[in-house]
Amino acid sequence: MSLESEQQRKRKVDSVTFKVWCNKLLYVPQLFFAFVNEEKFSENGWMVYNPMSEYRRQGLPNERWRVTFINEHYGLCDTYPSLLVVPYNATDDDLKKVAAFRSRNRIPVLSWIHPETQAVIMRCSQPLVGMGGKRNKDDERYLDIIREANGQISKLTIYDARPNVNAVANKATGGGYEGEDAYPNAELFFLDIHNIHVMRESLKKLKDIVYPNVEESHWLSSLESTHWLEHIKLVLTGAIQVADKVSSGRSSVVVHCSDGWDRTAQLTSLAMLMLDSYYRTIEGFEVLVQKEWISFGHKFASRIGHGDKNHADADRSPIFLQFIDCVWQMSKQFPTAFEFNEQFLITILDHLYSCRFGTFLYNSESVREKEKVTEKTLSLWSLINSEKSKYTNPFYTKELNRALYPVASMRHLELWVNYYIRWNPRIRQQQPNPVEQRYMELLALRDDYIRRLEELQITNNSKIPNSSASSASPSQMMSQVQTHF
Amino acid sequence: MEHIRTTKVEQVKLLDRFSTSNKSLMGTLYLTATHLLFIDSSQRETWILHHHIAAVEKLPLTTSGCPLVIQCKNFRIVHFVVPRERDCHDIYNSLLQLSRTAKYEELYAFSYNPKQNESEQVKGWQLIDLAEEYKRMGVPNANWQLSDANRDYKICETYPRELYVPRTASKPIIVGSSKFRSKGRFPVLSYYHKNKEAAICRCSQPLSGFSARCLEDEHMLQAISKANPSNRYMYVMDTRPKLNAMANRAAGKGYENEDNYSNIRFQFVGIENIHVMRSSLQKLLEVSGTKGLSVNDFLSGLENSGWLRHIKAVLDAAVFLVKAIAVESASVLVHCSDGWDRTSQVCSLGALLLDSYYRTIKGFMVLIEKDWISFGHKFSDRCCQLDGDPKEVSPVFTQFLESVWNLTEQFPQAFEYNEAFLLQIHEHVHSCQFGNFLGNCQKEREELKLKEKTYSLWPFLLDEQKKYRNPLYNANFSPELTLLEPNTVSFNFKFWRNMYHQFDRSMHPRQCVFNLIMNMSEQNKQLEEDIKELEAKIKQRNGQSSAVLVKEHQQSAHPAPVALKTPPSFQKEQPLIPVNDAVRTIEGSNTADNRYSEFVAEFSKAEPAVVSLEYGVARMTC
Repeated sequence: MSLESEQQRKRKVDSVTFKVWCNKLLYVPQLFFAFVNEEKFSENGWMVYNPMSEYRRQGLPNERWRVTFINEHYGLCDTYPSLLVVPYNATDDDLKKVAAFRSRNRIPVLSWIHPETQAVIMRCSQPLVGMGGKRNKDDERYLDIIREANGQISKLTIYDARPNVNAVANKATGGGYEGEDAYPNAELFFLDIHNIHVMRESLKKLKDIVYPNVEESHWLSSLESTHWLEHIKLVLTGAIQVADKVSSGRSSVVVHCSDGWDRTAQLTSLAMLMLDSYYRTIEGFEVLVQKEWISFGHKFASRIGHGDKNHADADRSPIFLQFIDCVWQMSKQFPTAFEFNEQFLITILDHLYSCRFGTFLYNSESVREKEKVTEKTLSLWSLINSEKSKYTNPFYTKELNRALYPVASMRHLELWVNYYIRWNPRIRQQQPNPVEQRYMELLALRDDYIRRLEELQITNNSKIPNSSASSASPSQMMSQVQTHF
Repeated sequence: MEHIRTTKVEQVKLLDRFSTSNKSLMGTLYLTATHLLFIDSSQRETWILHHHIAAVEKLPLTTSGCPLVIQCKNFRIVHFVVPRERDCHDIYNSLLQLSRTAKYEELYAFSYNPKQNESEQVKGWQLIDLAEEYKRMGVPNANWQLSDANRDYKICETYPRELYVPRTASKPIIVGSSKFRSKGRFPVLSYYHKNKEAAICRCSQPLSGFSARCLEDEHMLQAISKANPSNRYMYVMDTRPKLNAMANRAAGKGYENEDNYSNIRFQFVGIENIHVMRSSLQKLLEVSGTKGLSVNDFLSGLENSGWLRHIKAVLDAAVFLVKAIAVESASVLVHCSDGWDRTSQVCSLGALLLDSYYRTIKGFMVLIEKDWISFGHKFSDRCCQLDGDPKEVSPVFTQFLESVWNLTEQFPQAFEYNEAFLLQIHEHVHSCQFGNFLGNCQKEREELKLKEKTYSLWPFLLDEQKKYRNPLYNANFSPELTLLEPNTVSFNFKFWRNMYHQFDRSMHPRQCVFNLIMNMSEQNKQLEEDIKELEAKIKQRNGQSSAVLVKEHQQSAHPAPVALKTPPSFQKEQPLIPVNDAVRTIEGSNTADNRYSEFVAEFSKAEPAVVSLEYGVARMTC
C-alpha cells in the first residue's frame, strides 16, 4: 500500500462524515467528494489565479513577447492552458509547425520574465529527434527567435532535466534532445534528475523506514538507501542553476524533460520561487501552483491516482510532493522569506490526496473545463484564504526583489520529519512552536510599547508650556523642557 | 622565541576548502609568539592560536607554491599556499614546535594578560564556589555530610579536597572503599535532588577481578542507599559496554557483583571508550571535510563514523539515570573505568536534565566546574594541552557539549544560553588561554598556582553574556527542578553544522531566526527605556508645575516628536534582519526598493571570494 493511500486512510478517521463519503465515492471515477462538497467559505479561491493578470504583473505582453490565443480551444496542445506567451516575432503558423516537432505538441512558451534583464524561463517538452536525428528548421528558428528576444546573449541555454543516458535512450522512442549541429546558438546541459518511476520507488522506500516503525538502529544508512534526499538535492541544484543563469548570467533558458510536465514543472516553479519574491507570499504561491502545475498540465489525476484503486499504476509518482518538499527545504534555510508556514504546505499536500477540493482533480485544463470543475467544486485556496492567519509565517519580512539561493548541500538538507513521520506517536510536536510563540509575544510586546509611547508623547506634548516648542526640533525642545523648570 | 625563524611571509594564498572555484585570498602571514595571523588584501584578519593547532601538514609542492594545511582543535582547517618552499618549511617547523608545548608554564594562559588587577583576578576565581553549590542542592543535611578525608589529597589525588559522603560512612569505610576502587576514586556525591532525597553518586570501577570482595565498599554502597529514605534499593550504572567491563575483570578490575551488595540493581549502559570516540570523531571529520560529497556518501559516512550513535548512547544513559531518580526516587551510583570520562558525561547530563539551575548561564559554569573540573576529567590529556600520549586524546568533553546542544534543539525555551556559549566554551577548553581547564586534576592545578598566575574564563563569559543569551529562554517554562525528558529517537540527532563548520563561511545558514528574535528583544528593551524616560519626565514635571500648566492644556493639538532612540513611526514590516552580522550569517541586508538593482552586489559584498555565477555553483557542490 502506498504512502498516499496510507495517509488517506488515516485522514478518514478524522471525520466520520468524510469517511462515509470516501467509502461511497472513492471508486466512482466521475464523482469525487469535491463535487458534492457543500462547504461555504468567505473567500473564493477560484479567483486567485487569472493568467492574464499574472502575465501583466510580469510586464507582459511587451514589444518582444505577445499573448496568443491560438490554444483557446486546446487545438494546438490539449495539455497546455488556453493562454500562452510566445515571442512577438513568431507567428501562429510558426507555432503550429514547432508543435509538430515537440512531444505532445508542448512547444516552448514563456513561464517567467526577469523584470530587469528581460531574460526568460521557457518550458516545453523534448524535441522529436528520434534515432535518425531528425531536424526541424522551424523549431531551430523558433529557439533562435527566443534567443534574440533577449537581445544580449550569443547563446541560448537549454536545460534538459534528465540524465544524459535517459535523454539518449529516449531517441529510440522518437524523442531526444537538441543536438549541437542543429542548434549552434544553444548550449545544452543535463541536470541528472531521474524519472517518475525512480521517485516513486524512492518514496516507497522512505515510507518503509518510517512506517509502521521508524528504523532505529541504522537510521542514517536507511535514509541514505531511500535516495530521497539525494533526489531533493538534484532538483534543488537544477533549479538553482536555472535561476542563476537567468539572473546572474542574464541569459534566457529553455527547460524541458521528456513531456515537460513533471521535472520541468519542478524546475521552472522552483526557479521562479527563488527569483521572484511575489511567489513567496501565500497568494503568490497559490498563483505559482495554479500556473506552473495545474494549468500547464502536470497530470495530477494520473500521478496521484484520484479515485483509482490500482495502487500499482506505473503512472503514479510523488512529483508534486517532491516539489513541496523542496519548498520546505528552502523555507527552512530562509525562515523570513516566505509568507506561509509549514502548516500551509502540509495542508496543500493533505488536499492533494483528499479530493475535497477541485483544485488538483484531473490532468489538464481542457478536461477541467469539460468537467466544469470551477463551477461544481470548491477551490483549496478558498479554505486557505478564508483563514490566512493559520497559515502565516510570523517571521515573514516583506522583502521585494531578492533572489534566494538555498544551499543544496547535504549539510543543510534534512528529512521533513513533521510531514513524513507526523503520525508516529513518538514524535512530539511542540504546539504551538516555541520559537514562533516567543516571536509573537515579542511582537505583541512591541506593539504595546509603541502604543504606550505614543500616548505618553501626546501627554508630554500637550503639557509643554511653551507653545513654540511644537515647531522646534526635538533636541531643542528637549533642552527647553529641561531648562524651563 | 627561539622557534620562530620567519615572522612574516608575503603573497600567501588562503584557499577556501569548500569553494569550487580556485579563487583565493591573497595576503600576508605573520608568526607571533602566540598566534599565527593572516591578513588578507581587504584587511580581514584570521587569528590562529598556536595551542589550537592539532596538526600541520606540508603538501607536495605545486606550481603556485608550497601548500600548508593546518588543522585546529576547534575544527578550523586552513589551507595556505606559500610561494617559496623555504618560507613554508620554516613556518612548518616553527608551528610544529610552537603547537607542542612540553611544560605547563609555557602555555598561553601564563602569559595572557587581560588587564585585570589582582583583586579582580581573585574575584574572578571566586565566582564559582562549589561549597555554595552543594548548599544550594541541600547538602550537608541529616543524611549527607562534608568529609575531610581527602583534605590533603591523601586518599585520592584526582578528587577535589571537599567531598560529600553519607553521614553513616565513617572514615575507615571511606578508606577501605577507596582501596577497593580504581585510582582510589570511591563513591561520593555528585548531585543531590532535594525533592526526591535521591542522590547521583560517582566513583570508578571496583577492583573485584573475578571474585574479590570488600566489606567496606559494600558498606559504602549501603550507606548511600540508606541515605535515601524514600527508596530502599539503589541503582549502580556501569556506563561501559558489558563486554568491556568483563574484559576488565582479567586485569583485576571489573564491576559490582549483585550478590555481594544488598539492595542494588546493576545496569550496563554501553557507552564506548575514549579510543572508540577518538576514531569516531576522526571519521566524522573526514566526512565533513570532504568537498563535493554526494548525498549518499555524506549520510553513510555520518553513520559509519558512529558519532551520532555515540551521542545518543550518552544521552540515553543520562535519561536512564534521570528516570531512576525522578520516577523511582532511587539513588544512583555511576561509574565507568576510572570515573572521569563517561561518568562525568552521564552525571553532568543527568543533573542538567533534573535541575533547571544548570540550564542557566551561571549554572552551566557551575556544572562544568563541579562534574568536570573538580572531579578530575583529564582536560590536559584529553585535549592534548601538552605534548603527550596521542592515545590519551579524546573528544569526551566535546561530546558532552554536543549532547547539551541536542537538548537545546529539543527544548528551545529551556536554556538560558545559546549555541554560541557552547562553542565559546569549546574554544577555550582547547585554547589554554585561561587557567580553568589546565591540568588534569585539582591537585595539579594547585601545584601550578593557577589562581595566582592565570585568569578564570567565567567572569569574561559573564561580562559578555549578552552574546550568549538564548532569546527564547523562558524561565517560567521550567521552574526549579523541572525534569526534561528528551526524545532520543535516532532521527532527532543531527549533525552539528555550526560546530564542525564554524569556520567555513560557505556552510553557514543564510538566515537565522535567532538573530531576528534577538534584535526584536533589543528593540523592545530600547522602547521600554524610552517609555520609562518619558514617564519619569512627565512625572517630574507634573509634580513641579501642575498649576502653571493648566491653561496650556489644549494648545498643542499636534504632538511634536520627542527625541527618541527608536523611531516612533515603527512599521511591522520594518526589516529586522541584522544588517551587519558577520559572525553567523551570510544573509544580506534589506534591499532597496528598485527591483533587482542590488542583490548581486550584495552577495558579492558578503562573500568577496566568489562572485555571482560561481556563487550559486559553489554552493551546489559543497
